[in-house]
Amino acid sequence: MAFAGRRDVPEPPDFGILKRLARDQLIYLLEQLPGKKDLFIEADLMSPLDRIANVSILKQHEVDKLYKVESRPAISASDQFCFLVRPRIKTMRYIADIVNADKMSGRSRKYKIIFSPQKFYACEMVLEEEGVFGDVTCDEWSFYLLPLDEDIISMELPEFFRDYFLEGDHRWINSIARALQLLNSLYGPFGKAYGIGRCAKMSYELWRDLEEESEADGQGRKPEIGNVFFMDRGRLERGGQQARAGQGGAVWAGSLPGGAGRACAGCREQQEVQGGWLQQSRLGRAVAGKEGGQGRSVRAAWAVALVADTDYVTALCSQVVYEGLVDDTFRIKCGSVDFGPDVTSSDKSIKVLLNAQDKVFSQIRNEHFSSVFGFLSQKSRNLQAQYDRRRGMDIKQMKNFVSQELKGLKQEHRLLSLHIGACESIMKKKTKQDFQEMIKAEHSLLEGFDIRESTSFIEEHIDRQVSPIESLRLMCLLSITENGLIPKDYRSLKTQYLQSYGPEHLLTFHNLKRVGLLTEQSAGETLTAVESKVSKLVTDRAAGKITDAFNSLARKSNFRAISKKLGLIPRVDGEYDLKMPRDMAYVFSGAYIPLSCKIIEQVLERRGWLGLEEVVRLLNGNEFSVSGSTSAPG
Amino acid sequence: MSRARADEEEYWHSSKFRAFTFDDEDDELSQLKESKRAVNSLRDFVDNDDDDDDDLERVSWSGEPVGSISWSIKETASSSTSSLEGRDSSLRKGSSSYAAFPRQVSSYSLSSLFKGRNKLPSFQSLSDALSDTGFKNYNPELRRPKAEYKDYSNDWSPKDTVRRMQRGKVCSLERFRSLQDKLVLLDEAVAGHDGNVITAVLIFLKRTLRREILFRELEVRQVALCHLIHFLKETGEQKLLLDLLRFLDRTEEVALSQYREHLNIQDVEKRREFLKGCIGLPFSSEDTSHIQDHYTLLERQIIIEANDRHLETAGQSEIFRKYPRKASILNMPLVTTLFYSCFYHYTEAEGTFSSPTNLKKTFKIPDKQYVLTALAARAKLRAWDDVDALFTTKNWLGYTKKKAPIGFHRVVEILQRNNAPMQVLQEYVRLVEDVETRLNLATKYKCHDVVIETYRDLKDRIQLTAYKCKVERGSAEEDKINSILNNMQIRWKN
Repeated sequence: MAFAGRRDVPEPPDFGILKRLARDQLIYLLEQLPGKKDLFIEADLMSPLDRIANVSILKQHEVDKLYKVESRPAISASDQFCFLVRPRIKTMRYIADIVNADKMSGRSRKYKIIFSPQKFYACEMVLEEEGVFGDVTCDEWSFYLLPLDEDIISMELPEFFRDYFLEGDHRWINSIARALQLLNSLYGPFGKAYGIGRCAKMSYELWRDLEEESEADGQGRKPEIGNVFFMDRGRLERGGQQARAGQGGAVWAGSLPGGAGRACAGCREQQEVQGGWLQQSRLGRAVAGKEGGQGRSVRAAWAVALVADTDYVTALCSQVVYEGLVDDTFRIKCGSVDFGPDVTSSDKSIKVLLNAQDKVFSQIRNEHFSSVFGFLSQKSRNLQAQYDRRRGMDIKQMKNFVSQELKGLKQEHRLLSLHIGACESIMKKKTKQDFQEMIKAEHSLLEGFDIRESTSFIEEHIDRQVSPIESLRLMCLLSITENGLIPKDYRSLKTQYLQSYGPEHLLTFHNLKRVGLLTEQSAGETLTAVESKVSKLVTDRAAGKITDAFNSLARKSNFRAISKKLGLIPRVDGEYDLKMPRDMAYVFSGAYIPLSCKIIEQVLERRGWLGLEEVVRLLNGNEFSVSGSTSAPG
Repeated sequence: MSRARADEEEYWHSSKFRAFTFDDEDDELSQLKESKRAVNSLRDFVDNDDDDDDDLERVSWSGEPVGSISWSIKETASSSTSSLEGRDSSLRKGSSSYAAFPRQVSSYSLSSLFKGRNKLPSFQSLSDALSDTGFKNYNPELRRPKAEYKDYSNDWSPKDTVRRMQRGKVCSLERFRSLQDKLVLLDEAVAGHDGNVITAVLIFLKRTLRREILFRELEVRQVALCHLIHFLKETGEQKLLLDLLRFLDRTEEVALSQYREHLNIQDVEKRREFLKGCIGLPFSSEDTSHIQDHYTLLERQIIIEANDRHLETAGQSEIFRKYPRKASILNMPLVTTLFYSCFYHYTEAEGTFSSPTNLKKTFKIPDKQYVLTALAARAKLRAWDDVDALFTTKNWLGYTKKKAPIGFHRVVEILQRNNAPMQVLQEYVRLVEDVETRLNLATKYKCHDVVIETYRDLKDRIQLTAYKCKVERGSAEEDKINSILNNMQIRWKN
């Protein structure tokens, strides 16, 4: 399963460069404000920043104190303030308040705002309005891509989903295009680009447009990234954060435009679909195997996939592979996780990086949870045996043992006890929650039978106030697989939800309806009427685009048709062997093959969309495939 | 067994999903426990020195075994408040000594050093763009290259303007003065796919066009319209937003967006007043009743809260003395309120606002939801008689019978979580209809009688014999098993 042993799976390019670049640029920006300064960091930049730099690096560059950007007024004696923020209007007002308060009290300081990954015009407008434009200097930290592991990079832009799919704001498309530009310049021109979805297409076009100027320097380089895959909406993707493609031939920059997870919840931005991400692991192997078989160039088999919300179903099903369950239980942030005292069996929490460097984790991350126990117990027996060897050693052997093996064994021991602890916590939590019943309900929904029973399961889930997010997740799954809830169910579930979790969730329901995650059946006709009325008024240069605005109102999920077409729900006689799975469906205990993975597999196999016309139509089109993408798109 | 259930069971027996169940905790957990023991037994040997612990923990500047950035932020947050006073005095001192510094010693750009004042790139400040030409460059050699001058000249086409803005360059929009020009610019921005630029153009249009004209033009430009709406939401220009939505005839959104404001009102009385005003907003009929309920609920909560706070402080009421309230009931969901009222006000007559029956009636709470909540509350208080009464019904002949709108397995689960005594638990396990579920629950919670009786009814001698080793030697249960096994009248199926 490791990279090394597989000839058909190429080594990934060195994504560490991305980290070094980001770090160097940050240092450069900090040095632009010489002398001691206090640094204010936006909360959701902290985890990414932790992966790039640590406190001693900041300290070396004369950062004195660190603060979190929040609505509390800052009390500090420093003469220089530096703000490391996302380009948000709220944050601009926070900064302006600080500056204005200083002005009022006759205090003079220097202020610098560093926007990550880029500055928005609207932010400058707010600074101007607040009368502090010119008092602050602005810079951009072009930190577009964070490598989370050897084979996965992410933009870590959770707000993308809400901004694009709920509000229809295209502000991040430029960032996506620039991220592509960065990849292109670091790793050579992409071999081939495939894409589906409107956002994917726009990102691609804008990127090509930006690239036109800087053409030529990339010419003649050996491509390290073979295929680029753009995807969006279509309604099926495990949003959340990143989609991990396992050991295979793909880099998933899932949350490039990803972040479906944090989505669209209403009033308080609570997350509605939690973004687990690891489902697609099998894909890598599947795809890579085939590529290898066809004897393609090793390097070129690396692919980048940009996945947005293409595959809601994948995002909505419970995760049952180890990494997914760890994410569900402890929440993996930027590839690292906090294990609490119950896992560490001590009184402190430990922050652990979960990546390919962790030799225990890397072997179980993609396994179905049921296989994990066996593996761990085997592993601990081996460890025991290795320790036992020290009995009966003479002094010299013992010396050897201590100097050469002991460190490795201790390391393994620590990892092993952490993951065993994690498994215990997961089991405890899941058995308490009638997880079994929930999975059963999900599988029934996927197969489309016993809908009534699943509906009443969801109802009871709501009535018992089990979890507001899980309840919504199940309702959305019901809606997408059934093409909307029947009006009677919709009303009654909604009413009970508001009674259980609070009336203000009325706004949540409205938002979910708008993005098409939770809809009511048969609103179809009225909508078409409105649509045709508006279409008459339309003079938009690209007239077809109007449909998209309406799609967000009336996205039909077509789930059944697509899964039938692509065989996403495997028919297996007898038991599905989870230890030696035959397809990617094992990530859902054999119930569902993640659509996004299936599409990538199909397109790579066919080298294009030929033969997938029906699927493309069901996914609302906007597909493209461009080879040798340094040349003009065709 | 109902037909649907039979189908379903057949499905579960024949299908592929049986491979792993999270209910099989015994097997899997014991395996896990074993591994844990094995690993832990090694600990003594391994833990003698922890020098390489830093594999998992990063180091900080002071060399302490901590130091992720998020960690040290927490540290500064806690220390900054404690030493607040000391800072304040140094702050005053500092301000006098630094006030002398020139304000703009920015190293932002080279050109700024040679200009009269610092000029930040801005696409939209008219004064800046126009006065720029009037700047004296103190060093003519370092004058900007010719191409950059074009930023401020007037000959960028709309397309080029958009392209430059996409690349983060400065562009003045002031020359787009005719409506025609403005719209061409907007359409170019939309065609360029960059939301940041679209919003920038919209800010310019919003400043330079009367709103009716702006609205009219946006109505047929959906993409741009989305951007303006989002921008207004973010900047909080509620009035303009509502005007726009009204203009577009999106009445429901008008209502929702007004209703959303209640989240920012902290004072409950004001919030209640505000919600009252929301009732008349143009919601769908379904939502209107939700809003009405929201208002009524908060109104009730205010009354209950005032009463109960009084009761609690007076110390007269036993229940409040025994179980002091952990939080106020204000702004809680209905079900939580119902739980609260089942907990503290269960026996009250229907006439009072705080009685559960009154809540049930007012908000038309479905039976299922009511029973679940009442059960949880009464079980928490260990009021088993109330639990009993909740499920007991009398038929016309006066016989009593246990009935529940939810499955009895749920009842059992809730009782078990509240540590119900064995005879109570047993009674409800016995009522679980599905035989397999009943057996599972009975085995799990050691309701021996139920297990034994179920095997007897199933005429399953093998299982019953096997169960003998799970009960205590010489106990009444063992006797019971033996007497059943010896009963010649039972026709065993195996």
